[in-house]
Amino acid sequence: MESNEQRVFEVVRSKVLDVLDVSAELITPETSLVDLGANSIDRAEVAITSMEELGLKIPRSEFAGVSNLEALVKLFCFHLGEGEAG
Amino acid sequence: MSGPRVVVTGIGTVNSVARNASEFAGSLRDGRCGIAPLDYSEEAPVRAAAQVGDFEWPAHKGLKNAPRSARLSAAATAEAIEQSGLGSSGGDRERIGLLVAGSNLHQELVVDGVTQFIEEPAWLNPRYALTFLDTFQVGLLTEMFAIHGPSFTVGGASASGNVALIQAFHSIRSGLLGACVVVGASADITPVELQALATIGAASPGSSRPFDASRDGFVWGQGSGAVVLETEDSARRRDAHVLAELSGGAIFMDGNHLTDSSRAGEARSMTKTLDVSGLVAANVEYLNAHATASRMGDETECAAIRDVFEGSLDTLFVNSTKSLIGHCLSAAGVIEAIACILQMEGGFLHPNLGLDDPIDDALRFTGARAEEVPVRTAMSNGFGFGGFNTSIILKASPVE
Repeated sequence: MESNEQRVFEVVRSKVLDVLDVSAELITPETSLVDLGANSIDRAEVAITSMEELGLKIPRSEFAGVSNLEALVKLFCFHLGEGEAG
Repeated sequence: MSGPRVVVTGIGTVNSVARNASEFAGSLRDGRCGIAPLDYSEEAPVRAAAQVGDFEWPAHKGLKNAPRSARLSAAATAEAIEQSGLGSSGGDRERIGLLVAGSNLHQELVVDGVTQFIEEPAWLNPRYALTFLDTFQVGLLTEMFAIHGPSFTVGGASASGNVALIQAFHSIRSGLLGACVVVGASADITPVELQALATIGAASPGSSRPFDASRDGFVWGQGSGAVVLETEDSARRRDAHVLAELSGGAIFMDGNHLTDSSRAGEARSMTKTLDVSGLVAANVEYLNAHATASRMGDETECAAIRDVFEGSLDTLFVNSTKSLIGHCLSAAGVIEAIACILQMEGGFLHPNLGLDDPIDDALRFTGARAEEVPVRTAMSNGFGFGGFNTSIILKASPVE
């Protein structure tokens, strides 16, 4: 993972720990929130609180294809990049 | 009204002077006061509250990031259910119901949500969709304790606790339920509600002195209480220890949407309760008054007590638990019912703190220290904005 992705991943990891009772080592890029026992509200909470910390606003529809944490991190990084370009 | 006896087999509470019911018994006897300074801002009209400090709640996923009130409810309910032996499995769970007493329980969360929404709607926590509802607690507690009978919230302003106990009483008496858990939920109120309550003169700047000439309003108390009610047969079948009997209760509405208390209305809820319980005034030895320390409210209640207990005032002790733990609003009725049970069990009546100059010489208030008095029959009043007048009667165990 690139350093920017690593930083975003750490944000997501900390939000997962806030929302779910799981040990930190289980939270890897390959894991999905469903694998970690998250329900739909938990998943939305991880996404929204991560966006808040990263200063992002991403439409709900863009999360449709996200199947694991790596994809979530890439989505966030894509929008962070857009922000920098703009 | 006929039907099976309704008994109490479990109690639990977390409040400003106790983390559980046995600690509460000690605090009541010692007259511990939970009121402490509250620092919102220099200009705040309310400067004290009886808040709960750190406390433990049961390990349950739904309690992670849950409102404080829900955690307090869960802690009290777990204690009451454990004592009753009702558990979280076994028996016919469709015959068990759960009532959460109170409305607008998560105001702190609502204020935070509104603040976030004004700042940036996109970042509003999605959990708000669940937790702004008071019924979040009903769902959570029925999940935790596998309760599948009719369950809902019950609102009656500051009388909510008694209203819920009375609703549970009738549900059990009528045969709808075999057991019912009644949870008095803590109201997570905020500086917004305190500001309005202070402006109308209901909330005191900082002291709770029920029945005293210098009283100037109520002090908000945090806290939750839970009781398990069931038929005597249901308790026997499980070999549960009976703590007390809820022998009756009544609600009388003034037909008034304002804050005014009514002498006639309060007297009517007390006399109706005596009728439902098959008792006369002289049978009641102790009255746990609603007495919030409001100027008008305490005076009205004293007059109503004189009307109902005329002829037996010499043998009736009166106190207000709000002098120790403040006014626990929606939870007050349930916590005060627990206080009645603990006092009957312990053979004492707790002090009325701050009562130096009683407003009514005809009533026999407890003083600065606990009275060692055996009590077998206690009445507890609960009144609320909007013309709610409620009373209940509890009898000591063993039930006669």
